[in-house]
Amino acid sequence: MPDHMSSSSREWAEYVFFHDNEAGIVTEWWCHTASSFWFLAQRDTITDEIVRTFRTDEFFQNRVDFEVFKSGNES
Amino acid sequence: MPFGLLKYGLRKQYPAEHHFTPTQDLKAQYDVVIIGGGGHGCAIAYNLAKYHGVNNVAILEKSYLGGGNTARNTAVIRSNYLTESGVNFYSESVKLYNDLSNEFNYNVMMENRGQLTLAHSDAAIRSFRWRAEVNKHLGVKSELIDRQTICELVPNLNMSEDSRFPIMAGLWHADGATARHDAVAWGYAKGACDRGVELHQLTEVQDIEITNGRVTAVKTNRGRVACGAVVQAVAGASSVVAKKANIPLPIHCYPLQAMVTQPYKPILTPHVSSPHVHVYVHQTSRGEFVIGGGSDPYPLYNTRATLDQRESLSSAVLELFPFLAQARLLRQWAGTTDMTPDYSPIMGLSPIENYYLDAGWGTWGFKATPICGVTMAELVATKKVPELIRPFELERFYRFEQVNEAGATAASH
Repeated sequence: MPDHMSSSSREWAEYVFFHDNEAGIVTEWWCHTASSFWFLAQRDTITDEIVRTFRTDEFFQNRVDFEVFKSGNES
Repeated sequence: MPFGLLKYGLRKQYPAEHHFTPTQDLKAQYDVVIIGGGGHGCAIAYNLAKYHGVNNVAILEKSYLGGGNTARNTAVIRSNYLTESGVNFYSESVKLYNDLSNEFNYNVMMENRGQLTLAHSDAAIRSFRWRAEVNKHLGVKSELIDRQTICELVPNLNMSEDSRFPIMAGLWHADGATARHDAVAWGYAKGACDRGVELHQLTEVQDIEITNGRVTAVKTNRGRVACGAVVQAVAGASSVVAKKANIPLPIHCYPLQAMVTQPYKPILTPHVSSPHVHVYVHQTSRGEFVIGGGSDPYPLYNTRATLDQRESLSSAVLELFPFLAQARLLRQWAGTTDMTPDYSPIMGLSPIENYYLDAGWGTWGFKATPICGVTMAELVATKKVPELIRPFELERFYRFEQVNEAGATAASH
């Protein structure tokens, strides 16, 4: 993701509008709205098959701090 | 009577007419290669051959003629859009549709039945008033109508004030129509083939050769073809094909399902749409009720039909037309809609000099078939972008100049 403060309009437009639109296996965030449970899923966008699902703690063991939100970088 | 028909069929003076070129080997070179043999691809080829004298053209279709979204749409023709660019564009298409059967001497079963969009809230009425005024200003027939007029136009519509979302008003588009979608593809393809264009079905473009910023050839499953220019008109496969030419597109593909009932005696004339309830329906000249609604909720390149959507569409259409409760469903299917962020198409130039884009047609492609054929052919033949399609250039996204037709397009929101 480009830094919105330093990227050109063109770079930002590319990030906002242009997509892979992958025909194949993609990894996505899904939310079970009834329970608000967020998880990751690998889905085949051609066969409509869910290949695998992951609980978030299978991927993330430590807290992830995004550069742009560290104190002193806030705008 | 049946004997007369038999005699006619057996007489030598009425031989069966071949509509399209019989399958032949690909030539080594074509001036124009059109990737995609649907309504748009064939319309472009037809216009190139008839109006620009360009007939060294090959239409390369990976499956069968018109087998993509051209076969799967609900055949609505209208121009009641919101923006000036959109209205001018689609109204030209409606004008061309009105004379299309005569244009290429093939019956497209055009039915000027009118199109009614229903408002179930004050916000909707305000947006309809806006659309009606823009339409009228640009010469398109649209008007805001009241419950009384709606009752007269569609006597069997459920106007009960006890329903969850009673109908408050409507946007009546007298120019609205439907046609036989397959016939549009066939008519254009026949007209193109009659003028020397080659139609190649079961021919899939696997690779695109680019040298010094220009397309030089396409590689297919049936051989390599050198080309002067390429047009991609592949709807749901837009991103997949464009990726072969390293062209990024702002598209997400979502399935759009539709279904049709058995034929019944004529009871409904206009096409009726309710964005609020997420359904639109009309009764074809064969008597079948064609029902469509909102897109599937996640991106997918699969045209399967789901029980979930069948239930949604059925309950929505029964909300409007309770008399359909005992109607039998004949068939349910889907198309792959290439959705853009602003619900407007992507037409015109690409980063590659002689590679032209006709993409991002989402749920609004069928109605634009004739004007797409005219404008894209003009672009390919003259290398100048027609003013009518300039607002739809791919570059617009880089400049944040979207042409927002979300409100006038899909029934999903």
